[in-house]
Formats: sequence, C-alpha cells, structure tokens
Amino acid sequence: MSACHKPSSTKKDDKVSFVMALAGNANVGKSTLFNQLTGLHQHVGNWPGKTVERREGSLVVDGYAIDIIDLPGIYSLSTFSIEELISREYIVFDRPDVVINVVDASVLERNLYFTLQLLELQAPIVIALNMVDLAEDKGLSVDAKKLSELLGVPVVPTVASKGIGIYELIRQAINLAEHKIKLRPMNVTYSKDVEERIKKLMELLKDENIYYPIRFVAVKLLEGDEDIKRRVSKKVVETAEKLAKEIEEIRGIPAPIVIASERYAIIGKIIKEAQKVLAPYKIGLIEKIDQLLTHKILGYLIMVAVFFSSFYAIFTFGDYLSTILSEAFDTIKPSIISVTGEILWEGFFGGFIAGVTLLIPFVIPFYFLLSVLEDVGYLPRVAFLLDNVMHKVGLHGKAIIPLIMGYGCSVPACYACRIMETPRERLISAFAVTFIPCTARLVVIYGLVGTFVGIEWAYLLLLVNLVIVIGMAKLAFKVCPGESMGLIMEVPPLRLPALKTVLTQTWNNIKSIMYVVFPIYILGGGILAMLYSLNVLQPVEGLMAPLTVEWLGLPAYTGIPLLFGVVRKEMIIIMPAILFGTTNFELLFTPIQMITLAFVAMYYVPCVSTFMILKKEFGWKTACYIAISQLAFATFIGGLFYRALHALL
Amino acid sequence: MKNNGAEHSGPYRHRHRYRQRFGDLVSLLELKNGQKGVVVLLEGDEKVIRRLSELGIVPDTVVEVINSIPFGGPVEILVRGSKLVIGKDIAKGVLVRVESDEE
Repeated sequence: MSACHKPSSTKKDDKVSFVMALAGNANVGKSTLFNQLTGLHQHVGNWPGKTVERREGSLVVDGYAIDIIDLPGIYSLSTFSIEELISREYIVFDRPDVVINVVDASVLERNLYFTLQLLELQAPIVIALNMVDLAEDKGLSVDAKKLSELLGVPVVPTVASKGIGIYELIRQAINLAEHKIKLRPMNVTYSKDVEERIKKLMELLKDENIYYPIRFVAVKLLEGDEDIKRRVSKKVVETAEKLAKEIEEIRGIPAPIVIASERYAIIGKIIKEAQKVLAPYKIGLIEKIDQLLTHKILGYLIMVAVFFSSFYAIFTFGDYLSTILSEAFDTIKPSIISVTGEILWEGFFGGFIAGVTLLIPFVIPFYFLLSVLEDVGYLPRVAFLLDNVMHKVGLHGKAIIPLIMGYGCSVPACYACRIMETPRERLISAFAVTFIPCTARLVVIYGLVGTFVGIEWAYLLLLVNLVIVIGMAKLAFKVCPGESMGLIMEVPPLRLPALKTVLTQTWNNIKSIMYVVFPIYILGGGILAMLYSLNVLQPVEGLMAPLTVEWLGLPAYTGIPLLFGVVRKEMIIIMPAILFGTTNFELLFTPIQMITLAFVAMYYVPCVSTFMILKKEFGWKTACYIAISQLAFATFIGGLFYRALHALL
Repeated sequence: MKNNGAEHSGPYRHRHRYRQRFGDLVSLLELKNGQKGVVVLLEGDEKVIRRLSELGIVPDTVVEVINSIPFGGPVEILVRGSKLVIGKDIAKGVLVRVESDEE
C-alpha cells in the first residue's frame, strides 16, 4: 500500500520549496514555534468550508523556500472534532513533505499518544521535543537520541520560546524532505487478540479503494471511527463491528478503550527507556500561586479582583489617553471658509478623530490585558472556577473563554465558541456572546454614561448585563435542542508572560479591527455629514420617532446613529459627536437619555460583522432569530428601563 | 446498530463483574485532594469515555486528585504528568480503586 511520494519539491525562484505541517497537542508551544519560524510572514484564514482557523506562513532557509502550515492543536487523530478531521485529512490528502510533530517534553507520555497515531498514519515525521527546559524544571530528563532510536524518526530538542534548536529542527526536516535520511518508524503492535483482528480486516481491505494506509484504516475501524466507516463498504463495516464486539467480549472493556490502553502501554515502555526522573516532583512558587488562583474561596475573590481591576484600568487609562488625544487634535483644526470644506473636514476627518480618540484608548488596552491573561494561562483557571455556574445554563467552564473575549469583539469571540464540543453548546455560547458588551459598546457606555453620568452607573450597567447574559443563556439552553458534553480540559502550567508573545497577540487581535474600522469611520462620517447637509436624513428620523422618541424617550437625532450602529456600535456616539461638533454629550442628552441609549446600544442588534459570523457558523435562520430576539429585547426592556429610571430619579 | 435498547447503559455492562473482582470502587468525586486512585472502569457516554481514554485515563492508570470545587464543581487531576480538569458529571463515571500512599 506504500503510496508513492508525490514529487512535491518544486523549483520556484531558483529555490527548492517544501511544505511542512506543524502538528501536536494544544499547549505544547506549537504557535510559538510557528511564530519563530515564520516571523511576520503569516497568513491567517480558514480551512475551506470550515470555521477552523488556518495559519500558514513561510520562511527561507539555506536557499530553501518552506511553507509552514500550523495544524490545530489536537490530542488524537480520531474524528470527534472538526480539528482532528482537518488535521488527518490534510496529512493524508495534501501530503506535506514533512510533518513536524511538536511534543511537550514535560508531558511526554500524553504527547506520544498523538505521535503514535502519526506513525500509524505513516506520516513523514520529525519530532520537535519542545519545552525541554520546563521538563528539567520538573525534574525530568528526556534522552532525545534514545527516543529517536525507539520511534525510528528524528527527534530534535527545542525551546521554541527562546529559539533554541529551531535551526537544527528545520535542517532535519529538510533532510527528510530531500530523502537524505530514511525513517525506520517503529511498528505500533497491539496484543495478539487485537492484532489477529487487525490482520483480518486488512485482508478484507485489500480490495477497497481507500487513500489511507490499510493498517491505519483497520485500527480506526476497530476504534469505531465514523469517518473511516463511511469510506469503506458496508461489508467491511459489519465485519469490523463484529470483531470489535469480540474484543470487548474477551477483554470486558470496549475495543476503543482496549486500543487506547495498549497505545499507552507501548508509550509506557518508551518512557521507561527514554525518560529519567532526576529529582522528585516538588511544589515550587508558581505551583503555590496556582493553588491560590484555583482555591475554592480565595480563587473566586482573586478572580473578581482581576476582572474588576482590569475594567477599572481600561476605563481610567482609556479616559486619560482619550483626553490627551482629543486635546491634541483640537489644536490642529484648520480654519475653513467654504461650506463643502467644512462638511469634508467635519465628516471625514471627524470620523478619523473619533476613531483615534475613542477606539484606540480602549481597544488596545483591552487586548493587551487579555493577551497577558491568556499568556499567563489564567483563563483555564477561570474555566475551572466557573464550571458549575456555566453548567446552570447548559454550558461548561470552557465557555467562559469566548465570553471573556466577547468584551473585546464579538467576532473572534464567536469563532472561539468552537472550543465547545457540541453544536448546541456552540450555539448557546455564541448567543450569550452577542449579549456581552464588546469594546465598541463599552466605548458607548463609558463615553456617555461613565463620563457624564458617573462611573458607578457604568459599572451598574455592566452588572445588570451579567444578569441578562445568564438569563439569556438559560433561555437558549431551554429552547435549543441537542446534547451537551461536560468539561474535559487540559490545564497548561502557569507562566510569566513573555512581552513579545503578548505584543504579537495584541497586534493580531487589533489588526483586523483597525483595518476595518478606520475606513468605516472615515467614510461613514463623510457620508453622514453630506447626507445631513442635503437634508435627506431628517425624514428617516421622523419615521423612527415613535420608537426612539415616544417609547425610548431619546432625542430624534439618535435614529440615524442607531441605524449606523448596526455597522459599528461606536457610531452611536461618534455620529452625534460629528454632527454637533462636540464630544460634550451633556449638551445633547439628559443623564436618563444617556443611560437608556447606552442600554439600548448594548443589546439592540448584532453588528454586521457579528451577524455574518453567526450566519457562517449557524446559518441564516439562526442568525436572523438571534438578531430579531435582540431587537425585541432591547426595545421592549429599553422602554421599561427608561420609564423605571424616570420614576426613580 | 440501534436495534438493542438494552445497550443504553453504555459500553460497560460488566460493572458487577468488576465489583466482584475489586471490591468497592469510588468515583473521582469521592477522592480527597491529594488522594490517589487506580482507574478500574469508565462509565458514561461513549464519546466522553473515548476522549478520557485518549487523554490517558484508561484502566490501571494512577490518577491523583489535586484540587476540587465543592457544590458540584469540577475536579482537577494529575494523570501521566498532565493536569486535567474534569466536570462533575464526567468525573462521576471514572471509577477507581483507592491507592494507599505506602504502595
């Protein structure tokens, strides 16, 4: 069956080019390695037809042009998750010249489970034995040479975060791609009961037309792999199911678990020879801090303190920066004589200024802090602490990660919902995300309420929001059919944040927002100013008046900003600022109007980008349902809110 | 292959056999922090069991509970050198024989 290697090394610009894929578990430093290899030559997209991020980059080394594909972090090559299927199909169908298997030397045993399956898949692999420094800290020493002998593939020790071993790794990969070294991959052999049945299946599979290695297919069939089952004839599937049953009868446990156990038994033997325990495991300072962060009482107090101080820092720092920037811009305003010039200046440049003074001070600090929390490894701890709370709304702890990201931008947060295992959980969490105020809405809350009514009112809105998010998630939980799975999550070790990683991460997050937002502000501001001077918007405001003026008690001129807010929520305050030439909103709204407007802005509809993501992930129907339910909720509750404020204040 | 409703109880229809062989088993939820157990059997949804087994939670594996949240919260365990957090409903199905420290 040994499928012949396609002649993939092609000449381009006098350089030999190769394609290499990075594969491995989550949290093994794969992304760090990817960044080290490709630097800024990266392209982030999606796998065709899937909502899984596809990261691709390139590098030139020793005259070779190498394309690097960063496969998603996975623990197995079964097909329970889209990520696993994508990785498997990529390796088999696209045939990268080399698969660089990144393994965490400090959790070698668990990482080799994936490696074993790569060997079974007959992938051309080179192993990056990463985080050897961390392993040493844990008192573990891994003999790379021994490991290489046992597995029959090259093993290169690396510390990706420090750039150690990376050149050697890529050299080995090139050697393999050029067939200068030959792999002698170990045979993954199971016990007699299992092997007999694998052989039987392989015999049957001889006549099947299938692209995967036959032995891999036989093993996966015994493991009950749904995707592989679809690729073979019914007869084979039936035989496989019968054989799997026989294994279960003999062992008393189901065949997939027998196979997993035996893989771990094989790994156990490898570990015994290649890994030494130098020092007994002892609890260090970081471990002690970890215990505090996840303590059943203190952990929660710390969590509240962390989130509260983050918001406080963003608000105060944002305000400070925003004021400085506004003042700086005020001094450079030229004197303009013509009316057209005035419109252009106020519109286009006004949009630009609004973007700089409102967005940058809040968005950048948010993503910076989020990147720090991510890099430190704090988010999985929060998932641990909040698991039982999330269970009440049909989710589990991991869902807190997209929810926190929602405070930045709903778009990546909706993407992040794919870390949830089932479609139902993905939908509930994405629905909840759309109710979380993103930085655009935080700017509205802060710019209006925080600045002109009082910061305590801004916090109150955020607290009320928490209740609403929980209520809405609970509602979605009741309404959505489907299954929920519990929490199974690896907890990566806590570590000190690396400035470079944090900055790269921050930039990656804000980059797209900046590129999209500024043109919209500038164009939107200009168009709006022109339309106003032509008197075409006033009738629209008149049409919206029953809702905006009568029911919500807002000034008529909030109609158009609310319409534009569908594109970007900050437009809701940026537009009045442009139209009236002031960011002193006290002149434009009463305090109650400000609070009501901020409330409506928080919920009334997902912005266009979020809507498109929802459509992509869940289809038109669901996206429309979400938008309509939000509109109904915001207008109805907004009106009640306005009346309640009036009665109270 | 959905012709047999009796299989609903999951792939493990042999719990009694294990009980006879090993005496009383406890779930991960019943272990105190710092206590170790040897996995004897996994109960629950097939997908969940397979995910657990891929992460190294298979029969004869030593697991140590290192942290837990009361009132239906998850447990954090140390298994094969990695730390995993497992929700209550799943942890309930991981049955272990309690390991005394002297062994």
